[in-house]
Amino acid sequence: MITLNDILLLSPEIVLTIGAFVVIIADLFYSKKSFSAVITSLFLAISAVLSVALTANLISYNDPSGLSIINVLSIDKYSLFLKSLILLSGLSISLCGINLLSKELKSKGEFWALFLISITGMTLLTSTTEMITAWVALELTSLPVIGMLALNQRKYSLEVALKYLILSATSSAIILMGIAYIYGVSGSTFFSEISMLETALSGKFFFKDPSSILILFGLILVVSGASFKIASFPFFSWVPDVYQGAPTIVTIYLSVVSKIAGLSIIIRILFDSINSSMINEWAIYISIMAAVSMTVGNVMALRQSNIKRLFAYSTIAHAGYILVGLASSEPDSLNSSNFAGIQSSVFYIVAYAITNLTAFLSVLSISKEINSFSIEKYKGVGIKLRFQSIILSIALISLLGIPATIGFMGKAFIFSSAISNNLMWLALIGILNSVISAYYYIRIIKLMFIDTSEDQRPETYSGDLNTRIITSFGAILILMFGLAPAMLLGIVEGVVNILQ
Amino acid sequence: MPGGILSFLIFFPIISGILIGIFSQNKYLNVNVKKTSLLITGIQMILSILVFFSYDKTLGGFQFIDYFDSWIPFEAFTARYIVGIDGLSAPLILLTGILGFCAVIASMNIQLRQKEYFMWLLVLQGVVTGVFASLDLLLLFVFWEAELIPMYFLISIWGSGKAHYSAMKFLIFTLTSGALLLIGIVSLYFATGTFTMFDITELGLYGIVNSNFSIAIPAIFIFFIFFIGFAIKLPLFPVHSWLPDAHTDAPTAVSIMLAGVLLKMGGYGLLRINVDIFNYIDPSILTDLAPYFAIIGAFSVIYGALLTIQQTDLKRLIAFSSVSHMGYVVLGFSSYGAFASVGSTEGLGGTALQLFTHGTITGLAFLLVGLTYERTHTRYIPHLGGLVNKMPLITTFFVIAGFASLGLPGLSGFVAELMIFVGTFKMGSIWAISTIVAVFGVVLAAAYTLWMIQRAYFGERVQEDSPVNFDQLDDLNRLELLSVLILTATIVIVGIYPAIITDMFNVGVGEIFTR
Repeated sequence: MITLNDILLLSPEIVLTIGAFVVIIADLFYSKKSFSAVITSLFLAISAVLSVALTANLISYNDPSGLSIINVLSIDKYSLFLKSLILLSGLSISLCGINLLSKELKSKGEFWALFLISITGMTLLTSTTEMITAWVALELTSLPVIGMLALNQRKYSLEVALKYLILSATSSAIILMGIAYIYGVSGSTFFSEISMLETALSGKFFFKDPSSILILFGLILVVSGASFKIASFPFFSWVPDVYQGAPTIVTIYLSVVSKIAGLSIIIRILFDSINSSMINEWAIYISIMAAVSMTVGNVMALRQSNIKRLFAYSTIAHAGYILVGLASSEPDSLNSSNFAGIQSSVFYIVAYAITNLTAFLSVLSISKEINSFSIEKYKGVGIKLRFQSIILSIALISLLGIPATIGFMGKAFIFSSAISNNLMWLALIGILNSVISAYYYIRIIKLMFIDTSEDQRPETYSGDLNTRIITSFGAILILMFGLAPAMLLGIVEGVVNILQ
Repeated sequence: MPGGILSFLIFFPIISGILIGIFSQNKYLNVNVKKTSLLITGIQMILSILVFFSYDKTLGGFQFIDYFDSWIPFEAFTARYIVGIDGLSAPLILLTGILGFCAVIASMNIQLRQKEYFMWLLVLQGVVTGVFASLDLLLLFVFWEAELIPMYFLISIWGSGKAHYSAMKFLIFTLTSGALLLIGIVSLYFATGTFTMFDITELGLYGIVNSNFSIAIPAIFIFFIFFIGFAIKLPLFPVHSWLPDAHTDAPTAVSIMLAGVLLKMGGYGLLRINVDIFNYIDPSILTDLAPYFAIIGAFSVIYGALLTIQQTDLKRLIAFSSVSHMGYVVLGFSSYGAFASVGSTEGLGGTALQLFTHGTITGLAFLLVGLTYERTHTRYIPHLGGLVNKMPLITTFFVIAGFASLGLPGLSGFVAELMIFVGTFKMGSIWAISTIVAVFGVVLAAAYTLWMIQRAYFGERVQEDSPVNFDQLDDLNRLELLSVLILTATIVIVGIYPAIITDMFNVGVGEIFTR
C-alpha cells in the first residue's frame, strides 16, 4: 500500500519524470534555442531541493533505519545523500548547458528529456535494495544515454553511440548472469536475504560448500558489470572513445553523475548483500580492480593530446582510487573505531564529483572559446581567459592531490584506510600513481600559464556566466573542504553508518 | 611574545601574497609590489629574530604553541592544527626569516609578471615556515607538499635555461618524496594512534589510545620510508640529480630559498622524525643502521666535491657543492649512538648547525652569483675573470662566502663541520674511518672554492670571445649591500660566537635524549 508519505519520499523522482514529459511536450510548441534546457534545470532544481530537504531531515533526526517502500527501495540517509549529489551535479550540468550546448544539438527537447529520464534512473539506483530493481534502474540510466550520444551533429556520434550500446548491453548481460547465479543459490534477489543466507553459510570450508563459491562468483559478475558505469577495470575500454566523441555535456554527465550512481549501487551490493564473513574474498577482487584501473588510467593519460581523452583516462584512474577505499574495509569496520575505507570512499566520491565537475565545465567553457580540444591549443590560455584558467588549475591541482584542496584530503583518507587495513601494497601503488599523474595535470597548467602564445591579447572573453558562477562555487568548495574537511567528513560518517 | 605569533609568521606572508596576486594592480589600485613585499618580508625577518631570542632556553620544550583541535576531529582519524617551536626548529625559523628578506632583495630586478612572482615568493616563505613550525605530522605534510606549487611556477616561469624540464624534475622528485612521507606518516599514525609529534615521543609505539590502531608494519620499514623521503629532499647521493638542474635554472631568489631553506627541510625531517621520534619507537634501528649512514654520508661528501670541481658554470658549481655539504648532515646524523656510548651530542648538534650555516653561506653565495650574473649575463667561468677591478665589493663578499664554505676558522662553516667531525670520530671504528674520509671533503672544498674564485673574480682579465662588457659593470647598490651584509654578519657572528645558535640546538638535541 502506497501512502502519502511514500509519495513524499519519492518526490524527487516523481518531479524528474514529470519534468521529462513537460520538456518533450513544451518542445513541440516552443522550441526556442535554450528553452528546453531552462525547463530541465527548473525541474532538476526542484528535485534537488526536495532531495536535499529530505536528506537534511533524515540526518537531523538521525533516523537510523531509513524508510522502505514496497520492499525494493530504501530511502535512507545514504541514498538521499548520494541522490542529492547526483541531482546537484545534474543541475550544474544543465545550467551550463543552457548557453553552451545550443549549437551542437539537433533536437534539444528530446535530448533534455532523455537526460532527465537517465537521471531518474540514477536516483532510483541509489536506493534499490533488490537485484532486479537495481538492474532495471541501471538500464534506465544507460538506454537514454545512447540516445543522447546519437542526437548531435558530430562526425562520430553514431559510432560512439553504437560502441556504448554494445558494451552497455554486454555489461547488462553480465549483471543478469550474476543475478541468476545468486538467485539460483539463495532463492532470493533481496540484498538482505542474500546476506542472511551467507551468514548461514559462513564458517564452512570454502571449497566444500559450492554455494558460497557460486554466490561469490555471482557477486563478482554483478560488480564487474557495474564497473561499466564507473569506468573501471574490467569494463573501461569504451571510455576514451566515447568521452572524446560525445558532446562535452554528455561526457561530463558520464564522467561525474554516472560514476556516482554506479558507485552507489556497488557500495550497496558490497555492504548490504555481502556478509562480512566473505569480505576477505571480494576485497581481493576489488583491490585488483583498483590497482589495474589506477595504473592503466594514469599511464595511458601521459601521452594524450586531446583533453577530453586525457580526462577519460584520468577518470579511470580516479575510479581506481575510489575502489581502494572499498577494498580496505575490514569486517565490522563500521562498528569499530577503525578508520573505515567506505567512509573515505564516499568522501572521495564527493571530492571527485566537485573537482571533476569544476574541471570539466571549465574545459568546456575554455574549449568553446579556443574552438579546440587539443591540449596544445591551451598554450597561453591563462592570459586570454584568466579567470576560467585559474579555476581549472585549482581543479587540476585538486585532482592531483596537492594539499589545501579537497582532492588531497580525499587521497589522504583513501590511502590511510588502505594502510590501516594492511593493504600497504595497494596504498604504495596508488600513491606512486598519483605521482605519475602530476606529469599530465601539471602539463596543462604549464601550457596555460607558463608557455606564452603569440596571441597575447588580454582577457577578451569572459565565458558563459552560468559556468563562471558554478565553477567558482566549485573552486570555493574545493579549497574550503580542502582546508577544513571536518564538516563534510562528519556528514559522510553519519551517512554511511546506515549500511550493514 | 604574544600568542599566535607562529601562526602569524605562517599565514601573514601567504595571505598577503595572495592579496598582492589578486588585488595589487587593477583599475582602482596600483601598488608597488616590490616595496610591499620588501616590507612584508622585513616584518617577517624582524619577528622571526624576536621569536628566536624570546625562546626560553632554560625552560626548553615546545614554546609559542598555537593549536586548534578540531581540524580533523574524528576518533579514528584525528589531526590537529598545532604549531610550536623548540630548540631544533627555532634557528630554522630564524633562517627562513632572514633568507626570505634577502630573496626579495635579490628579486628587485624582476620585470616579468611581477605581482605573480612576488605572490609565489611570499606564499613559499609562509609555507616553509609552516613546515618548521608544525607539530602535527599531517599538518607538516600539508605544508611540505604545498611548497611544490610556488616552486614549480617560480622555477618554470622566471627560470633560465631548461627551466621547464628542471621544474618538472623538481616536481616529480619532491612528489615522490612526499608520497613516501605520507605513507610513513600514516603508518606511524596507525601504529601509535596520533599525529602529534610530542605525543608519539612521550608515549611511544603501541602506547596510546586503544589497541585497534596497532597494525603489523615493522618499524624499520617506516624508518626507511621516512629516510628515503628526506634523503630525496636533502639530497643524498643516489637521489640528488634534481638539485643541480633546479638550482641552475631557478632565478636567484629561488636558488637562495631552495639551497637555504628547502634543503633544510630534509635535514630537519631526519632530526625530527628519524632521530627524535624513532629514538622512542625503537632506538636499535638507528644504532644498527648508523654505520651505513656514516659511509653513505662520507661518500656523498667526496662524490659531491669531485663533481663540483668539474663544473664550469658558476651557479651549477655552488649547487653541486650543496650535495657535498649535505653529506656532512648525514654523517653527523650517523653519530646518533654517541649519546648512549660516549654521552655526547656534538654530532647531532653539529648536524643541526650545519643546516643553519649552510643556509646562510650558500644563500650568500647564490645571492652573489645572481648579482654577478645580472651584470655579466654569463655564468660560464672561463668567460669571467678579472671582475675584482670592477666589482670589488661583490668579490670581497664572495671570498668571505667561499672561505666560510670551505670551513675557515672564525666563520660559521668551520664550527659546524668541526662539531660533526668530533662527534662522529668519537664513535670509533667505521665512524672514525668515515670521518677521516670526509675530512678530505674540506680539502676538496678548498680546491674548488679557491680555484673558482681565482678564475671567476681574479685571474686574467677578459678572454677574446668573452661576451662580458667590462666597461658597464657596476658594484652593489645600497639595498643589495644590505642583504649581503645581513648574511655576512650572520656568518661572522656565528663563526666567532657559535654559542648563540649552538646553545639553542643543544637544548633541542639534548631533549631528544632526556625528554
